[in-house]
Amino acid sequence: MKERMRRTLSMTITLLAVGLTASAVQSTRDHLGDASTLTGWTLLVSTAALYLLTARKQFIAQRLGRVAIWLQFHVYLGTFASIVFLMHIGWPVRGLFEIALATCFAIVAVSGIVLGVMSRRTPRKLASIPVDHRLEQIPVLRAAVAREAHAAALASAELGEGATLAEYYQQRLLPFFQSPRGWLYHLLPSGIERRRLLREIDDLQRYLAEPGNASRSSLAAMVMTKDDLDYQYALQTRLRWLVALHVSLTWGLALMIGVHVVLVYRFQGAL
Amino acid sequence: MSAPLRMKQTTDARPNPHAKWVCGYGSIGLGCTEGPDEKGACCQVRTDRVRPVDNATCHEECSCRHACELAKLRRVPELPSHVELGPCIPQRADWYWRQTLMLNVGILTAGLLLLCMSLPQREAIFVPGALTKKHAQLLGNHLVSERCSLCHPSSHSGIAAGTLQDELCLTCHTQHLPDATLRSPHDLPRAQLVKLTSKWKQTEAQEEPHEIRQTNCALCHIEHHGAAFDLTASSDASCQSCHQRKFPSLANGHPQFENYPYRRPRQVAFDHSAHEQKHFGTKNQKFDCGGCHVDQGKSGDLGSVFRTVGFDRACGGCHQEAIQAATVNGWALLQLPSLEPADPQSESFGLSDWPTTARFGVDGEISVPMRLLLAADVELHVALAQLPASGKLSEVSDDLQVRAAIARSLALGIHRLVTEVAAEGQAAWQRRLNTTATNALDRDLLPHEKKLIEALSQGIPPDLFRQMELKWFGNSSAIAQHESRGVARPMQLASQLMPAEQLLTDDQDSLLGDATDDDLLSQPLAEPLSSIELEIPPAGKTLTKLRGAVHVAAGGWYLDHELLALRYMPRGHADPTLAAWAEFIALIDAHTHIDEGELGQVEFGHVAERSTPHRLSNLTHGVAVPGGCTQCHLLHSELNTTEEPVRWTSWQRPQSVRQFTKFDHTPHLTLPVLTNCRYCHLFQKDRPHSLRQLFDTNSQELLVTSPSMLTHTVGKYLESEFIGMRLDQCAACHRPGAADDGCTQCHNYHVGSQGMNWSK
Repeated sequence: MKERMRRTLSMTITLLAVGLTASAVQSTRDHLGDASTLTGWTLLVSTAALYLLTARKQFIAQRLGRVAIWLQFHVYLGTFASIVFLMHIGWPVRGLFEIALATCFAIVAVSGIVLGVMSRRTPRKLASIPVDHRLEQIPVLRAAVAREAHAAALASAELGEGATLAEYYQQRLLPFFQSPRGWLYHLLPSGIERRRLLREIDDLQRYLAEPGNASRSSLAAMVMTKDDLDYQYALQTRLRWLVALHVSLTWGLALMIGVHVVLVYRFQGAL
Repeated sequence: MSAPLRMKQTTDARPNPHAKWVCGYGSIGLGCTEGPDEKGACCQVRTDRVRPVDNATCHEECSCRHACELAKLRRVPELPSHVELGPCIPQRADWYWRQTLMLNVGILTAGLLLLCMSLPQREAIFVPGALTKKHAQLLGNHLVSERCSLCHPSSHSGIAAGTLQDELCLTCHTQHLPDATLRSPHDLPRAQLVKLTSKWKQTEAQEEPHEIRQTNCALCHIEHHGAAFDLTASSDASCQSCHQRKFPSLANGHPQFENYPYRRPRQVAFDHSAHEQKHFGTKNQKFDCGGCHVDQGKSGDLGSVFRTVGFDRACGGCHQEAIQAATVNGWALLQLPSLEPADPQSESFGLSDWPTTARFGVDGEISVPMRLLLAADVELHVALAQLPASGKLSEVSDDLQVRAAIARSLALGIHRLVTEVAAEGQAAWQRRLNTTATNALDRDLLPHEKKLIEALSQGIPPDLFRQMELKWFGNSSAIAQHESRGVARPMQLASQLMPAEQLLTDDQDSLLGDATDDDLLSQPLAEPLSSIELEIPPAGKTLTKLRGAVHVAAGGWYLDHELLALRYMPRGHADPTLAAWAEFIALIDAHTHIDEGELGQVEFGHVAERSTPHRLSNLTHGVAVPGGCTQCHLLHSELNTTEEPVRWTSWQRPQSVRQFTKFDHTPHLTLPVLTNCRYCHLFQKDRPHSLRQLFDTNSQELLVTSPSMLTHTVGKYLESEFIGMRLDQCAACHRPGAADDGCTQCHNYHVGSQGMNWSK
């Protein structure tokens, strides 16, 4: 409840700031003022404030408040800055440098917004998996599961069940266990493949005797384990790549903003 | 409300989150918790580390149990052996990798920016969008100083510090927007803005002070929005940012039109309704608006619709003959009146040499032009003042002494005029008109007024005046002798001081100047000038009587020896000499009779109580100048006090002046309902008089005291000829969702004083 209240308050303040800025812009335009300068400086100040999170992370020893609080501030300020950015730019954006700057800002803003959403949704998705694993450990665990599945498939052939389970393993499960998932799965992980394989494994029941069904059940469990590992890996990798994308452009963006401001004032004759 | 996340079992403890490097075995799930040092060295090879027993490393078999994570793992049988794993290769921590990436991207960006700034095409890279078509050529200039710096101060060296961007704009745009240098709303002077604002305040009882601020070009004209961008486009919100009277659309809140589009004074007194009902109606002809107002072959500001298409096309068909008939006998600009050379009851009359053909009692008329020429003679002021307005000598006072004095003064004055022009030529003519005009206007003449007097003097033939001197007054005029005996002479005329034959040999003769080297001038005259018979026919041939319509049909000056007149034969409509005289008379008349403020009192149906009222018909300029010029042309002489000359033609929108309200007939006339001009231009039905009645001497109500008042009265009449357009006529189509109803659809912003002069 407390978190919800805090979130509501933050959202209200953000919307209020957006509304005030929009009113100021409209009023400026109504009085033939330079709305670009108003939105530009608002954007510059808010963008500079967004860098405070990076700065805060550099000062570990000082007691400057919890990073989580700073992160909240960063998220809502980033949302505000993104809207002001839309007010600031003309559409369509023209000029090579201006397009590069706008694209850079848009990437950072969109990745930030997506990160904000995902950072709230990913933990819930991860919570649906029984066991958490560190990202670095998942490849090893996936390899171990693959080895176990291979062994189970070989053992089922030796149990006199014929080649039914082994052939199915070779045709359908071997690529699943021993190949990484595609890029689309890493972008939008889902249980479609998992459900299809489990349905197919379940369909094998009528062709197998009891020992074979035991192996089948074992393989089904391994499919679920492998899919859980893949799911965790996809979710965490996606988050890390988004963070990398979001962070990597920050200094480049800062430089381009600086050049933009200098050019604007230089060509207005103010510098 | 979602369920709180549950705590779950984890497979491993997390390494130090702030470490730059992590264990190389982490990628296979066997990373140690201690991890590498800050420089990325594996914890097992660090020199400061307490080594296991017998100084062995973890890459070898060792017996340590607490310091080495790997050693513990190795004791788990199902995990790969130490040898199988190989050496640990520490990896960058995730955040450290991101920071490195961030730094590298930053360095790459800085490098790219520096590279772009050093490229010759840097302006194409950093320009924030293409220029509009009209400015696009600027970036094609070769020199840097002729590209960005043409518009942007401080963008390059070479521009003086403190230069404003507007000043750079106006270096190119001053010519067609000269008033834009004011940098004020609508390019209007502050005084005019205040006047306009105060006018509105009075009507709306607005007490809030109006903020009149300085404007900048870039407030509305924003560049770098692409080649197709309309740089002159302006939103209604921009207009209403200054205008205090705000309204959402043309149909909702726009001020009502004030006699639009008939505010401008008419130059041609054309009575539409009278022409339609009387002239066209009686001839059973269609009164087609397009006949006089549409010229499909031309295109102006209003499309192919014009105020008039000219006399020849619009009026000539009916009026050409009448004009020619009115001037068939020429115009007697100067005619000797009939006087009594001597009176038995008055010795002072004594005009024995007055031409015998002009001795039939005191009669005749001193025409208006002649009066203006004589008015320059100081000695004639009293006599001219005693002349009636009609100039007819028969209406002079019956008092014999007065009549004698006037007659003698006029005779002397006319003779001085003749001899003066005979001696000095056009210079004397011009000087007299200058003197008259200066006295009447009581100020120095304006350039266009001087030009008008030059036009009046052009073509005046001095040789005809010499003929007048010799043939009408004789060689040794008794008039001159009489004058030299006793009458004071304000003018020293050569002809009055010396015999006529010496006129051409005198060194002061302005016609000849100092050209003593000229053989023709240095030789003595073969015979006295007085003996020259200018109209002596060649031997064996008899000349017919000189008739202007026959002998001077193409136009020009000639002498009428029978009526003792100098006549001018006009060249039909728009004769420049008659036009110049009409303008001059109107100019003098306006300043002689009309005081400021009187004009506003003249209204229809109002009996102007003047001390000496005159009938309108007696006061038209048409009496002074033949051809009835001013029956159609309203010479708004009261406007002549400024630098504006009289306009003969209908007012046309000058190309150099941007009017505040703009309109183009062309797109409107494509609509079927608007092809009928009377959808917008409706006649005023209930009017007390027709224009003809203004000239009707029987009208007892219309009394004015001068031709200028007549012009003004007719102008006022014509202003009410049409019903001003109503706002709803335009708003029927120009409304939201239909035809554009934005402010700039009908209004120009950059107008200046000239374009906003209706606000006077």
